Amino acid sequence: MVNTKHAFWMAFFFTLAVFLIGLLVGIFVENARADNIQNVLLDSEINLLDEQLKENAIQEFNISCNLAKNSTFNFADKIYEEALRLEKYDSASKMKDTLTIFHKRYDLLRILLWTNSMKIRSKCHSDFHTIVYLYDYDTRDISKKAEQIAMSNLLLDFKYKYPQETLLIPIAANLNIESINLIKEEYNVTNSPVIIIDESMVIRSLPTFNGLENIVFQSNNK
Amino acid sequence: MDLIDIVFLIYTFAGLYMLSLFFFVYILNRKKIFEHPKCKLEPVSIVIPCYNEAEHIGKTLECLQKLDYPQSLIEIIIVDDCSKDNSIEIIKKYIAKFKNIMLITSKKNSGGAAIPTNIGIKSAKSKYAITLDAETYPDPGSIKKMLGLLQEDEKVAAVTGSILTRHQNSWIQKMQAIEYDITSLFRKILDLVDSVYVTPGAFAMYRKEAVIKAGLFDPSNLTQDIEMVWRLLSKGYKARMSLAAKAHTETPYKFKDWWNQRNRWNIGGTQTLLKYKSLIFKKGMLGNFIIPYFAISLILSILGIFLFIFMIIKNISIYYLVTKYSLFASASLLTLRDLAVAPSIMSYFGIALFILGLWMTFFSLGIMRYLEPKKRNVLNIIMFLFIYSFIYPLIMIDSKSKMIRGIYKW
Repeated sequence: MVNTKHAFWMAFFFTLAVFLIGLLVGIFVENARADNIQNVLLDSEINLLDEQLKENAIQEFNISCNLAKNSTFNFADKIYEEALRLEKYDSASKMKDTLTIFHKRYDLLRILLWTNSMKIRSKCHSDFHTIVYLYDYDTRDISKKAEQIAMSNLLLDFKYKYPQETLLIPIAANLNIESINLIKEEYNVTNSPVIIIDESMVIRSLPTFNGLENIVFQSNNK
Repeated sequence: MDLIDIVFLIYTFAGLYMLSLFFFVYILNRKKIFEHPKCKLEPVSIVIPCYNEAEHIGKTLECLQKLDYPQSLIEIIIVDDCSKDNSIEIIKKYIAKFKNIMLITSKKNSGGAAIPTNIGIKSAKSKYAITLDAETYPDPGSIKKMLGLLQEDEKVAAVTGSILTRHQNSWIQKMQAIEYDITSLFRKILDLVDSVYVTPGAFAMYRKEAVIKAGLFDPSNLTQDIEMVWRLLSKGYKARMSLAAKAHTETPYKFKDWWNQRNRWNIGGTQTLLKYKSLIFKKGMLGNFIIPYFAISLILSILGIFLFIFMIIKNISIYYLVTKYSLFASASLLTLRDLAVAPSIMSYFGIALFILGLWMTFFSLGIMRYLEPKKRNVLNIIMFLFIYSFIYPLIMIDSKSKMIRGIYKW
């Protein structure tokens, strides 16, 4: 018969080794994901700078407003997709907390995108609508989480139906970013989720699809 | 990392540790896994507690006559616990036919196997007493393959063999057949590290004097066989296992009977753990491995069940509310992004543990084919892993609720 202590210790050290390797692999995978997000984010930040330069170019070189609008929409779609990927990685992140900082940077990008879109709309007299969706990041409140999922799906459906007429900008409202806090104060937002349409109308509860259509396109007629 | 992740990691570590232990002990002892010491022919007494066993007792007695052991050295003691069927008539027919069978009848039904077994052991004339269920059929060579373990070491007080299933007619019996095979090998692995924690009453051999000295089987415990081994271990005795010694037993055919049996085992196991909890880290392998192993398994199972229930309720609540809100808003219920999931480190650990568990199941069944060649249906093995194993947490809930309500029924 084998020495009992010997077998127990062998199994313990083997398990420990497998476990540590597993944890290291986990850290490596999550680091790789964070690096990937960081590279994409840097790229998006350059794009945003480009957007801001475009705004100047519109004024200085009389560039077509349509071109500027399309470019803003493409950029919005791009960072929306990237944010979805970040969200996916974030939900799978167990070892590190670095992805929250990327969330903040993406939110800042989106605020810049929002202000940029306001300028383009005003200067080019564009007829697109800005739908800003303020939500709570990583909420534990089940009811709020469910409402946010439904609202997010509703806005995504809306965006699919009106891709050229709406600019969808989701922003996490609870990451303690000063500029977001100022916006919340300006629109008297005390509780998320809320939808701000064309900087003029605030929807504080879940609307129906038809209701949202009416509100968005009514605001156009104003 | 939240509480659920931490519990999951502990669970994974414990699971991985048990699989590694199994693997290392097997690898280091693989050549002697079916070995057993030669025995000297000595008288043995076979004690069969009997209650309404008319269907099986005759076959069991026939089977005992075919044992590869001198009949003159075998004493068969049947203790009838007030059967309501014609068990006694059948037994009497065999008494007339064979000289070595004795019948003891009790005046009042005891409601369990402990009391009739104790009566039988006290009446036994031999140094070694074998407890045998009326529906268990030992293989001809089984006694010889077990007795040597008691004879070679005076400290060994209990020996068990491989208890396998006799029939595989219903789905639940097919699942039990896989389970019994794996359990037998697992028990042998534990034997190799001096940690046999039960010698199932269905077929076990005891040093009679040790059992009497220890105070006989405890009728208040629903798994008196587990309790007996723990008591013997606490008194410095050892329990062993002979993988080569086979016996086939009838297993519950109906799901309900299986459920009730497992409930009883679960309650009895917990009763035993609570009784001996003070011996943790004392008394050799009992306190250093068996009790912690039982305690950790119990704690992790209970914690796992509560977390699982919490997660289920939480997710159902979210899905219900999302559906309610989405229907109100006429929004999509499911989007492509809901289907895109990035695996986390927990997923990798879970997958690794599952693959290792799957490998261990096939590996164990492969080893057990040397003992008893049989064809296995892969679908049954998959169902065993995916369905049968997942019913256990429900039994755990039921048994713990019965314990809380004070329902201790055989």
